[in-house]
Amino acid sequence: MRFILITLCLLVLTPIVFPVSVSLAANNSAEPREVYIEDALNRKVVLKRVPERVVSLAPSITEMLFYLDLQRYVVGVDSISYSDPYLNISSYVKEHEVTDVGGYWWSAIEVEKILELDPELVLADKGGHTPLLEVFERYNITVIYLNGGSARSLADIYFDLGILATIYGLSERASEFMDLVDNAFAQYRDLLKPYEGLKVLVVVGVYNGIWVAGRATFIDDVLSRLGLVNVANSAGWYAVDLEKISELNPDIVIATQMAGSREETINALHDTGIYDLGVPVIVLSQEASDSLQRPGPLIQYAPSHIYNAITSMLQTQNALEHGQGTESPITELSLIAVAFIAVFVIGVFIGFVIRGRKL
Amino acid sequence: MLASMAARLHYSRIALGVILVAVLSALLICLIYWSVHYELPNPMDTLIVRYRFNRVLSAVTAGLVLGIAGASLQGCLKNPLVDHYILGVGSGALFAVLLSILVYGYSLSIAPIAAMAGGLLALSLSIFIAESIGGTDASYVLAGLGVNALFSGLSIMLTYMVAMRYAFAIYFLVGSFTLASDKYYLTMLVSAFILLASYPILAKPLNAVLLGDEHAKQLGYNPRIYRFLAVVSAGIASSLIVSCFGIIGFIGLVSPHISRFLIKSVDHRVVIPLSGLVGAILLLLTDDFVRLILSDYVGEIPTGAIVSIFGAPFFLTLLLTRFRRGLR
Repeated sequence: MRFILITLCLLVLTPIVFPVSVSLAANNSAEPREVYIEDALNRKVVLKRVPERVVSLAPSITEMLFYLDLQRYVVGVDSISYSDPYLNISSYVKEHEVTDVGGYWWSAIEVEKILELDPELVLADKGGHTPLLEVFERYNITVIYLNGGSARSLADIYFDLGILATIYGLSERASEFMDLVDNAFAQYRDLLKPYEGLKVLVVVGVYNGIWVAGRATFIDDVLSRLGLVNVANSAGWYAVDLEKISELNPDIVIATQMAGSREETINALHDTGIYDLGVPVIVLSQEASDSLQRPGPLIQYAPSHIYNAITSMLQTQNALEHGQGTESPITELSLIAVAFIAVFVIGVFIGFVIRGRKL
Repeated sequence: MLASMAARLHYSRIALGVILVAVLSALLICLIYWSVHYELPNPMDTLIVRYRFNRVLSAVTAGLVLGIAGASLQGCLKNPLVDHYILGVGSGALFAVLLSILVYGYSLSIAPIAAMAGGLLALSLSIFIAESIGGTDASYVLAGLGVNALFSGLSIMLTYMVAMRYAFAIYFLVGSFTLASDKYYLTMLVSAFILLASYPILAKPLNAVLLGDEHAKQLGYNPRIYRFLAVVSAGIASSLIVSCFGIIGFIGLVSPHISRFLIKSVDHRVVIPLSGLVGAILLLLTDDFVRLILSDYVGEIPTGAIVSIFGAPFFLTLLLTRFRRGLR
């Protein structure tokens, strides 16, 4: 009776944990078997056998493949994966002459290189590669779309891992990963108890505004799982200005490292005026930034990185006090305005003087 | 009798223009005050007042410069379909700025100089090509289209290379005042100064140039010199604005048309300052719309994109109207 109950529970829970359809023929052996997958675009894909020539188009997907020890099947990766320092990816792909197929963004992917590789499976990112679906279908290339960069929560990351685990019969390894991540979050949520409810703003880039992670992003999910509050209240990734940030009133700003060095990121942030807000600004290291930005196995390290960053910053600063001045700037700004008007008037005057001379 | 009536009408239009300039100046000052103080969370909030002031001042100066530059270019080229954006000055300046970033990194002293060089190069190319193929309205638009395409393509290519080192590079592709700060004051002032100083020199001669080169010469103006001065001052000033805030199109096209419509005259003595004021008001209103309304729903959209959404249909309407009238 107990055995039947456990079996029934497992049967009910499995589709919740892995929302993919798996045929009864699927098992953990390496023998040819037919697997039915429902991918992140809700497409139903049938794999007649375990794919042994795989192309990954996103760093988070490549990291998942390497995490599951499936690197021997990888024949092509995107450009970011090609120099990915984690999980020994960069050195492996170079040693084994894995092809760099361009990207990560769809318009930078070299489709011809993928065709040359004759892959049995292409793993693409729903957010970055959906426009390529028609091309893949036209050339009869089997493609499975994962959430990748458009993951909205840890559940979406588990979904992606679940699909790979299903294809290669590695459900146990995937379950272990999920336990590991859940435990890490539980552990650091306890450690962050003194800071529960801390209002955090995560800055992910500076171009045409200050780009922040809003609601329905996996960064938002990470923050809420750690008991922190994401003050960016609009959905998705969006740009704000200094005034909006002041209105959002975060207790702390966490900035991920952008292109270039950490110093360049700090300089770019300085140019936005964000440091003038008087709110502590933490610029994460490259490794910490990647763990927070890549919806893959690195996410397991995100709680510890966030914990370390917040505690080290808040212990050294009186963080929750805003340092905004109370002195009225009106006089200074009025002087600037007067200076502008004066220059304009002088300009016109000089023009009149020059006009007096014959040209 | 007819001559005195015409003279009276002319002076009444000038008087109307002067009154309009005064009214629009007052409106602009009120708008600036409102933009800085709108729903200020805390009247003593120094940082926000400073940020808003920088942003508002930037939008107003950029609008003023682009409006005056547009009026000067349309006047000296005798073509109502041109502005710095249509003639490729914006994309030329952008290309040069990106190239300078690639070589030297971003520098507040190098970027404006590069922008001037790039903007003037693109402008000369457009004018040279347009004059080579007939010098009609359509020639300028087509030449500008080609030059724009060339420099836009080069700029996008450079953006890919530069953005890895300098994240702000993408910010130049579409103009925005989100990152406005006092570090651009000098460039903005130089840009406005050049155009305002050129106004008294160019306003009257441009009226003569509009009548044709022969008439201009008879009136004692050398059209080549004044055309050259107008093109160079407008090119330099608008390139400097591009080096600060990126490409903002169509303000220079729309503002002179609105000004001419308001006073029913093409007299540059009134059209140029009026166009500057209209440009400043339009750009400030657009930026306010982005900052105060759109940002609550979709985040910060670059002001340059919103200006294009309104400006491009205006340009197309203008183009269609002129072609329907049989003007080439």
